[in-house]
Amino acid sequence: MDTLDLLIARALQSGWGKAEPSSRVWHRIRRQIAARPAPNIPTRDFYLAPYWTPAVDTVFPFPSAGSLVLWRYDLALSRFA
Amino acid sequence: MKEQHTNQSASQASSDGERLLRLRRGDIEALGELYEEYKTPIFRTALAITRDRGAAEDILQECFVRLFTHSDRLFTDRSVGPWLYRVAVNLSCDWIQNHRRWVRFSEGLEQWLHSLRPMPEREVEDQELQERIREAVRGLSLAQQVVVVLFYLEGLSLKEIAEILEVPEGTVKSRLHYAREALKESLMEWQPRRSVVYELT
Repeated sequence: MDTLDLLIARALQSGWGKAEPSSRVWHRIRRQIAARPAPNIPTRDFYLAPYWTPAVDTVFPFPSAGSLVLWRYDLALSRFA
Repeated sequence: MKEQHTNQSASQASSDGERLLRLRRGDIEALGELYEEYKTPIFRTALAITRDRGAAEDILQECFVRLFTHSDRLFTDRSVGPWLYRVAVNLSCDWIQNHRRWVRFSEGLEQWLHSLRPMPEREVEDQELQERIREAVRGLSLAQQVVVVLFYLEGLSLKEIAEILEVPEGTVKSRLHYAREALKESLMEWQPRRSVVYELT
């Protein structure tokens, strides 16, 4: 801390160092919280608006290339085991 | 000293955590205890950034309503101070960006009212210097202003400011350095009436 730091700190302290909010603020907070609606669980109409997407396997009933490679890798491992 | 500070922070975090748990159960008294503890620094910070008492009170109110709303998302093993400071700083910066024209007008009005008050010469000089510094702070970028307020008014460390602003400590250090340089330059141009010389380093 040198002179400049002290000057800045003093200027800010003398400007706002003793500032206090009025007591009205706490009453306003309490009122605002009391006026808030109680949290409710969102309701969803599962029949009219389905949120799921159909699984790919039900449309294309063949295994993917990736799973075939894994299957063969599994076979190779079992042969050397 | 450092150990004492760490112990203090740990005990602060545990008492805040206990209040947060009560708050999650809807205990408004816990919010009242947190309000009593943090209202002054949060209000002071918002006031120093916005320079508007009404705005600072609105920001203080919003901070605590948000604390109540988001109490389930806050960590109970940490102090709520940095979170409250962060919300206050963000709301203050938003307010400044939305009220730039009003800020300039109200500052001009304040200076005019101030010039009407009769004061002894020395007091006038001292007040002039302080006013000059506050005005120079207002001329800094918003990011620098925030760091200056948190460092010089709130007395927070670089590490604490970095945590509040969610930026690296080096960024805080650099913002403070450039802010300090700008303030120094601005004060160099100022000529006191009784030729009091401040040696600025």
